[in-house]
Amino acid sequence: MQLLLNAIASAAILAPAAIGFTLIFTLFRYTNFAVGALMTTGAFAAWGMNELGLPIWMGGVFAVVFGAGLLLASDRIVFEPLRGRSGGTLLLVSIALSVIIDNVIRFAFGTQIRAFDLPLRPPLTFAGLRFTPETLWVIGISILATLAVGALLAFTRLGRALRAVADNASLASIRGLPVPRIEAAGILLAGALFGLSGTLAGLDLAIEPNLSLALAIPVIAAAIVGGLGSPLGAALGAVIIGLAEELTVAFISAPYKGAVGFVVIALVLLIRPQGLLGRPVERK
Amino acid sequence: MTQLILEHLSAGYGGADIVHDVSLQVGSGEIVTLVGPNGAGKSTLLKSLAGVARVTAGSLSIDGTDLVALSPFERATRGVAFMPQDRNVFRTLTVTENLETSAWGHDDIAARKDEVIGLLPTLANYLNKAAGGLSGGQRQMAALGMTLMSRPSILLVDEPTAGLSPNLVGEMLDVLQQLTRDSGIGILIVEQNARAALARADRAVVLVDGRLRRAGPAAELAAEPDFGALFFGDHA
Repeated sequence: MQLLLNAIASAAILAPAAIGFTLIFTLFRYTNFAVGALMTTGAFAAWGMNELGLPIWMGGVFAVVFGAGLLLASDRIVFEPLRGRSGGTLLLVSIALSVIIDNVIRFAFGTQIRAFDLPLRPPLTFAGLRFTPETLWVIGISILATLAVGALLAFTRLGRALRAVADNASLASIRGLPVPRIEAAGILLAGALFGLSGTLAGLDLAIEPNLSLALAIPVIAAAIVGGLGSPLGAALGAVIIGLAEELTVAFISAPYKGAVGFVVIALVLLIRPQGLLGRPVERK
Repeated sequence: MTQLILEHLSAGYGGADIVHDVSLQVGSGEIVTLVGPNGAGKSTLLKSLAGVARVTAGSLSIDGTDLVALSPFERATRGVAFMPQDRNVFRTLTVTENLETSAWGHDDIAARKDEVIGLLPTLANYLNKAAGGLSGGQRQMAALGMTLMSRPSILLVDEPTAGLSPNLVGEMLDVLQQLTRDSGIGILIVEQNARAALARADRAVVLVDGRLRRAGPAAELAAEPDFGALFFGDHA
C-alpha cells in the first residue's frame, strides 16, 4: 500500500504536465521535449516567489501564469515560424529550447539545490501509511487539475473547439472557428499545466536545473502510455509510470528509476503504439 | 437578395493556376451545378471561393463585399459556407458537438441546432454518436448540418453524394433542393452524378480544363446533344 501511495504521489506530479504535453501534441503534432525544462522553470518561479516571502500557494499561482506565458512566448518565437515542418525537426528544436532554458536557469539561479520554505514536521501516519501533508496537497491539487481540464474539454465551448481544432484545423477554420485564438488558448492551458506540475515537483523533489531531464522522460512516457491525444489516458499513463518507477526503486535499484520511462516507451511502441486510450492520429 | 459574384477569377495552389478566368453568379434560392470531367478544376474553384485555395486573379464578392483577401474563417462569418467532399466532420466529437462547434461565436446555438434538425430530421437519430463512427450517408448529412449552423446565405457543396448508395444520392440532392426552397440559400454544387444534379438545378456551368466552357439553364444544358461529351471531357 505504501508503494501504491508513493506511486500515486509520483503520478500526481506527472499527470498535469502529461495532459499539457498531449494537448500540444494533438494541436500541432510534435513532441515538445522542452516539457521538463518548462516544468523546472515553473518550480523555480514558484520557489522565487516563496523566497520573496509569498506563501507557496501564491508561488504556485505565479508559476501557473508564468508557465502559460512562457510556453506562449516560446511558441511565438520558436515554433510558430516552423509550423508545417516535420515532427522530427520540431523535436530537435524543442531539445535545443530545453537546453537553452536549462542554461538560462543555471545562469540566473546557479546550480545549487533549492527547496520551498516548508516547516519541518514529522510525517503523518494513517493505516500504516507514512506521508507528509505536502504529499496530500500534491495528490489533491493534481486530481482537481486533471478533473478540471477533463471537464473543460468535455463540457465547455472552448473545450469542444480545442478538440475540433486538434481533430481537423482546416475544417475548423472553414466552419468559422478562430483557429489561431483557439490554438493560443490550448498553448496557454498546456503552459499553465507545466507550471503547475513544476510547482508540485518542487514540493516533492529538490529544485535544481538538472530536474529537466528527470521530469521530461517520465512525462513523455506517461503521455505515450496513455495514448497521445487522450488527456484521460495521459493521467492514467502517469499512474502507470509512477507505479513502474516505485516498483523499480523497491525491487531493483533506485538509480534505475530514470530508465523506467525509456523502457515503458519502448514496450508501448512494440505492443500497442497508439497507447492505452489513444487512437491512430494523422500527420498534419 | 444575396449574390455571390465571380468575375474573371483564376485560382490554384502554390504558383500554378488550375482555374482560369471564370465568371459566374450564384443568387439566393437557386442551385447552380458545376459539372465537368475529372481534373477540370471544379473542386479547386469551390475551394478558392471558400478561401482554401488561392485566388490569383479576378474578383470575388458577396453582396458587394470583396472576399479575396479574407481567410476561410472570415468568409464563413460573411455567409459563405463550404462543405468539403471528405474529412468534413470532426471525427472525435459527437454529432451534437459537431453542430454546436460549427456555430462558434453565436449565442443562440440551441435554437440553431433545433432549426437544423428541423431541416434535416434524420440527424436526430444519431446526435450522440461520435462522428467518426457514422455511415457514409449519416456523415454527409452531419456535415451538411454543420454548414447550416452558421445560417449561410451561400452554400458551396463539393460532391455531397461521393461514396453514397444510389438511393441516398437522390435523397441528399432532394434535401439540398428543399433547402433552397425553404431557407432561400443559394447553392453552388459540384456533383459527379451530373444528370441527377442537373435535374434539381436551376442553372449549370460546365468547366473543362479549368475554363468555363458552357453556362445556362440546367434543363437546356442537360438536353444538349454534346452534353455527355462535354461532361466526360471529349470536347475537341
